[in-house]
Amino acid sequence: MSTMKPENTAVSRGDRRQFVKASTLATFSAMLGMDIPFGGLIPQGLTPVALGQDEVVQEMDLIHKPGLRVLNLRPVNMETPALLLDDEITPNQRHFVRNNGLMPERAGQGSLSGWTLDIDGEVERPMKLSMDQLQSGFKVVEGAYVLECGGNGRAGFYPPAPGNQWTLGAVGCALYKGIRLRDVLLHAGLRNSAVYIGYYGEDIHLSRDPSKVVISRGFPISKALDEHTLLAWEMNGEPLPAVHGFPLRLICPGWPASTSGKWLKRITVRNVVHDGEKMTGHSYRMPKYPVAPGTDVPAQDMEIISEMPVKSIITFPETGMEVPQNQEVPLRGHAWSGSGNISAMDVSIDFGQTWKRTELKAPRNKFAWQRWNVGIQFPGPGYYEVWARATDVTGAMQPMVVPGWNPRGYLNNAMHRIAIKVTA
Amino acid sequence: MKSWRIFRPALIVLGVVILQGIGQEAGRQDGISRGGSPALAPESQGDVIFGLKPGTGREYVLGYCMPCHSTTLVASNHMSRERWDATIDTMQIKNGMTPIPPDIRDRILDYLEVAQRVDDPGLNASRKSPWASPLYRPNPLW
Repeated sequence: MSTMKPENTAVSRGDRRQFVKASTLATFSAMLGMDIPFGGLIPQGLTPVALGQDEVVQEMDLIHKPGLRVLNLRPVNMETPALLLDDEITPNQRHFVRNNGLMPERAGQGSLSGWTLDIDGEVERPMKLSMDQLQSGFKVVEGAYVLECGGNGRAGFYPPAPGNQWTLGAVGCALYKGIRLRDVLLHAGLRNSAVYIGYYGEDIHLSRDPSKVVISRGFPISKALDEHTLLAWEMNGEPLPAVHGFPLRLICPGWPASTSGKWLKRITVRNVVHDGEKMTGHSYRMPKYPVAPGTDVPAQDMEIISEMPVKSIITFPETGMEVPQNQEVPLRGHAWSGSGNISAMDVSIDFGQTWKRTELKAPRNKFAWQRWNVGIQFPGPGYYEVWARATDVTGAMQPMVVPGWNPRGYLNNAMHRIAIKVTA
Repeated sequence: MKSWRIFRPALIVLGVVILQGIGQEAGRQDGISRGGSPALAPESQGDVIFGLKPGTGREYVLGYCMPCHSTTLVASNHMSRERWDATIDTMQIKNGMTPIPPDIRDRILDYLEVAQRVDDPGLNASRKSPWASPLYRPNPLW
């Protein structure tokens, strides 16, 4: 296993001490994503306190994500602008980040010292597996998988739903190498009482209280036994980057990305639905029935999100582009669905009155996103919107407007719309 | 290290109070008038600090929220006073937020109720122009 070597950037270069010494107001402003008024007058030593900067600097040292939009630095949450999702396989530096706590030290050091994956609960043979045992004891598989945050698109809900205000970019499709979770579970011997799995990671609670679990979610045994549910140690040909869960993470494709636990240390097989941190209450749950916007929904009327809905994105051109008339404009993007493949991808340039079928590529594997492209000739000068609509194999289609309001703002799969100005 | 963390809210409040003082002083010196939102108290005019609009009680929001997470999370959320109050409960029950004296809690809520309200003009403006935000239109029910 090679150690982590973060690429050099203005923010990530050098060790932490040097960074603090070299820090300028501009750097702090950039890290915060905002201006610090009268920052030049901040007394020495005050800014770091206010920033909670010790952790922020440590983490930014390990994250190289130029061009991503920072929603939060502590914990780190970054989304990718649509244009930067144009690659068929999302490069590591362009993959969104949704952390709930602080990264474990091991991840930053790229160290496997003392690390095992513990399998316990409803299994015949509880076990601790080293990385060597995982890599050599089971069939190694590789696949491209879409991970999308359950809250992607939250910014579209009104009244606003609490949490990170993701727009479009809490999604990516990277290539993961690892082993099937089912092979490990069957090796440990699943008992008939097995109902659900729950994961535990090594990430650190924001309060630094070691007794607090940051996030511990899971999924039903049926999903755990799916051939596409993986324990992955490699992302796009590199060891998992620190921010993406070094040394091992779950890949639970098609489900909210919070089920794809990072910095994995333990998987416990439960005889009931897992009730770990962020499994209960309103977290990652939708109302069992449609509710009016703003409704207070009792916790017992909420149910766990399983498959993510059908969705697509326009990755070229960027919204707001001006094009001369009489020039064909190439449009392209990706489409995906938690239920499997996409059956049709259409675009409209007349506010949904007529639709044009696009060319749709087959997925690299199930749960990879699918490339679509089409050339459009606009009829004349003016303001146009391009609407993009995917339909999946179940016949489900993206809605034109933001779908069912829910208390935490999950599952907004409204069509992506961009504006195009055609000039004379 | 441990005791340092316990005192962090107080240190941040102190720091922000100094910062605001410096800001007001600098404003007077360069003669620039700094307009605050009309909905906010007059004494709270000034600049955005760490993403938070000016307002009475802001220093306590910075002091009590920043020890755990960036204030961008506060600034990007808009809720009623009751929901902000419930959010503080959640932060204390689940996330280990420091206990807050009742009078300070009220000042925090006074600030959030105004600065981070659901009908925040800034939030609404970003939804109206298709060029600013062509991704979404307001929910047709609203």
